[in-house]
Amino acid sequence: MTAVTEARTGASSPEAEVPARPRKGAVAAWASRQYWPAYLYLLPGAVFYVLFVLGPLGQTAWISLFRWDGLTEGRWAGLDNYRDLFHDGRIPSALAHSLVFVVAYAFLPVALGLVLAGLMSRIKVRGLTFFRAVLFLPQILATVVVAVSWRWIYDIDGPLNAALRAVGLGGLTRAWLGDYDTALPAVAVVGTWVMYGLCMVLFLAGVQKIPTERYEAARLDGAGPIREFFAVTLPALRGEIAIALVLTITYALRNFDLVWNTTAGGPGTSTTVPSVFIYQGAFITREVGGAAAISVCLTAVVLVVTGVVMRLVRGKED
Amino acid sequence: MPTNRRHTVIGHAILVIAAIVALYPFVSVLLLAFSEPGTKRSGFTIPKSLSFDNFSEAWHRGLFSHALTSSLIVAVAVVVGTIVLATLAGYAFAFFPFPFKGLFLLLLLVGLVMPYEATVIPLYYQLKDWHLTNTYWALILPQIGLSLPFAVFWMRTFFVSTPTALREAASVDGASKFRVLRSILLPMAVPAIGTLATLLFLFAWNEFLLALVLVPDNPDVQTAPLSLSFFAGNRRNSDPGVTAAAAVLVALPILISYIALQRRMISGMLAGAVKE
Amino acid sequence: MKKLRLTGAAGVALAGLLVAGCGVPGAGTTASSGFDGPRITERVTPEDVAKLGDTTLRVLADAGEEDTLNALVPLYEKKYPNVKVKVTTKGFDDLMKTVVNTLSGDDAPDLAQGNQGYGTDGPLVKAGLIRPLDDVLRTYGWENFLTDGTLKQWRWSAGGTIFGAGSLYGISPVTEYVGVFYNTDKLAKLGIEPPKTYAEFTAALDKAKAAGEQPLMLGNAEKYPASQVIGLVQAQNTPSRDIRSWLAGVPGSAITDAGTVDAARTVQDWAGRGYFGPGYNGISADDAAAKFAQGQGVFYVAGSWNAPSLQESMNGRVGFTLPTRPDGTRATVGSMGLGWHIGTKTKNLTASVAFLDMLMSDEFAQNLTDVGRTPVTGHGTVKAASPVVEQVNGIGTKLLADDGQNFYLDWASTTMYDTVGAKTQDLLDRRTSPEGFANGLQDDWKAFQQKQREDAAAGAGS
Repeated sequence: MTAVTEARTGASSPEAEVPARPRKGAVAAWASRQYWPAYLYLLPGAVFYVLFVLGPLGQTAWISLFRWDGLTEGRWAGLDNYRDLFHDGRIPSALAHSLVFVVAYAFLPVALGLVLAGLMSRIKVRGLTFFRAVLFLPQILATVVVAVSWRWIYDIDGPLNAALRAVGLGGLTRAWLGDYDTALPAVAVVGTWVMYGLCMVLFLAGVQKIPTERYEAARLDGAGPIREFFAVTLPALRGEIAIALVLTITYALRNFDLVWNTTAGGPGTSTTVPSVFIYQGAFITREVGGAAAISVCLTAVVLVVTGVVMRLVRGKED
Repeated sequence: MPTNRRHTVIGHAILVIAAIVALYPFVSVLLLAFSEPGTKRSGFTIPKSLSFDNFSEAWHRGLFSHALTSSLIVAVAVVVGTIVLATLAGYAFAFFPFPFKGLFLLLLLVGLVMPYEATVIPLYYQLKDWHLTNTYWALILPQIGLSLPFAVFWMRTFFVSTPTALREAASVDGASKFRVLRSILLPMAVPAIGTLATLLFLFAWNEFLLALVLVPDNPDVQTAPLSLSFFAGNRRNSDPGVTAAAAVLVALPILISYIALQRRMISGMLAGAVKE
Repeated sequence: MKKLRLTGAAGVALAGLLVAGCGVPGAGTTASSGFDGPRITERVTPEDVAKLGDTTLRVLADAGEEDTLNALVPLYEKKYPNVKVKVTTKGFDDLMKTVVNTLSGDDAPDLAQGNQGYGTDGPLVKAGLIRPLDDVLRTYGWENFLTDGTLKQWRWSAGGTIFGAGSLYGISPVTEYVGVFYNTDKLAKLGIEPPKTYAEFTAALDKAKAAGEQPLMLGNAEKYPASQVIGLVQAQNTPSRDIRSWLAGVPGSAITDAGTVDAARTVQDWAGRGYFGPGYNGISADDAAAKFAQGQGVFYVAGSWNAPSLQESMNGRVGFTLPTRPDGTRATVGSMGLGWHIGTKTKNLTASVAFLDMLMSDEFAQNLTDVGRTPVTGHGTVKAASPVVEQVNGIGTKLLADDGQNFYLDWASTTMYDTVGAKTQDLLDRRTSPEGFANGLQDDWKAFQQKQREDAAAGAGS
């Protein structure tokens, strides 16, 4: 009950801010250093954040220690839910699928977005507004819409198979989402499609901020487009790349909408991901404690992964 | 220069392909929505005539006139609330020294990455205790909280990237920190805030699970994605054409506002003092 | 190190939040021990309902009930003019996610639809959110045309832990079951009579295959349709009683019997020989119906609820049958429609009962068939709009008389829907054997029964 309470109450009464391990004179030091204006700026946001995000998250962690059907009085279970998790045979394959999705939802779109942003930084693009709006389109569609249209594209009579037949590859046609060998890559491609527009727009906003002199300087040094990209564009986009990676990796690891609405984890269990189990536990099987335990573990995993990524991309924090 | 021309051609070709790939699935949904109810779908066919039957059925059965209004109210409130709070917090994170900064950033990161499928259940009981379920507040307040991490990181990144010289000049002139924010940084931030607003609006507009669980029984507050789910979540006798029409109805307002905001953003960038 | 200290502080902060959320989740809502509200002893009259004064009856229903309610509500409001009916409908998935929370809310609807089995009805009964209907059942005599076996789908022990015995908690005027649709044009071309028995059915499949047709249409993207095909075959050999005991969790029962394993083997065999055509795991159930209507597949094993739409999309060139067992009786995957429940907190009990009365009345049966449902009420007075709907209605009545509703395998546990779906896809793709399929279901059942026993023991201990 230390730091968070400070965020909540600190600004109005700085004296009340006692650090985790109070030392003598610390309060006086704080007052003299005038930290309180910072907390004043943070306070309104912190109130919302604690009430509607950290609070429920803490309760989720608490619930993970119970067997609870989400309705009637729960039963203390200690760490049983976590123990069950480690013995749950479905988890390892679900994690493997998540890994595939991280590549498809995060790394590929960021790479594509960078290439496109690099192109736009160097050339004068005609119809920039149009391309931006169009490339961003996949992001603005609700997942259900995305799922409906891609189910049709992958359909046995759908455009993809029609195209394959047209170019004489009729032997490859199949129900892409219903085949054990292709369902996972097929869902992964949808993720790439959804995410590359977001990366695009993020990087484009970043590219506009780069002072043109830097490009001119690089060009005076005789830099080609590729060297220019690595010397100017990429370093300047570090912050945006970090945000994009955090967003897309998070989406890849936790999002279940897309999987749920395209394959529902099938065929068999070939496209299950941990968040599908969370959802099922919370809303279908009503094992809310178990679902909470997966949530907590997933949050920890995502936190570690994104922490590492941010550290790698941005370098050391200030 | 010839190389430059080649780059331009290749660049545009890639852009065109990327744009077609991005467009195609949406176009297929659009064609489906405009087709006569009950017609056969196949490969690449284009409907011979435009039919609005699917749209009118989706509009009436999905209570879309209510739903679109609700979505607009919720999304605008979330965007405005989040941007005000995130600008203040992002400013503090960017330029103020204070203890536990790293910890606070970490806590923000937690909110950014947590899967909320399970968190929504305690949230439901909390809002129920406060008698807020089935109201707009149940949709607006939690979504502001959930949007904050992204928005704060966004604003902080923007503030950090602003030229130091400008800020220093202002402090030398004796401007208070708040005045620096209001008079110097905010005008510069218009394009960044515009993009952020677009993204937040989008997240809020498409939010489904929170809307479903926190407003279980009040059609007046039901948002557009719920109306879509009414058609898409049916296990039997769902009509793909009507579902597609509902999907278009959900996507269209946001598409229009995106295009509108996009123009504003660009003119903002041209006129603004983004570049030194 | 500074870093370590910060991390430590983060831990303390999170722990603090935990304590802030302290308290047993769901405290205050205990498992229901029985119902002690007012009882219904006589048929509700308009005068009884009039005593409520001007009131609003709130109804929460599945989107599939829209047409039914559009027909019912005007009749109801005319007969009970002091009552205004306010209907909310949701898509099936959304309804299942929210109905429990909605009924537990401060302002719960008077009437709501749940879903049979441990997933939805179980929690509703356990938390005491819906009212037993034994008194209503007796007063209105519904048990005269609904067999004991049929009514088991809404019976629960008071704590909601044991399914299939105890008080009745729901009711529905319609039945839905899995049968065999056939393309009449194709049958005529192949020279096949509509099959009446199971032997005739399999012979027809072989003949269709030999003639180069796709014998069966199947769309299994949602994972459940293929399990219904297995269920149809299973019903030929495994007694309904055994399947329902297993679903109810009767100790010692098993789904690993020869009949079930044979059914799994048969359907696996059909898949292997291409009877279902290509890509069935990637075709949705709705698309399968559309493809069947467009002439793909001679037969289509599917729910009776498809009859009206197939009638329309196939211009009447469709028929419906349910192969009989060797003894001439019928059994198949099927149940009554989603159950109607009366909320415990309702202030409009008489109006709610009057609503169920009208829904279950013989007079309303014709309306039900007109909107494409299969009423079990009406008793021979109902005129079907098309031959195929008449076949569906007729077989439905016989099925009820034969006590042949086997319910759905996924009712057996909260996870069974997923287990059956995944195991069925594995089976059809030869990733598991017929025995492996049956054992997989049995393992899920065992784990769930074990959990139920633990919960019961803990409940008794606390």
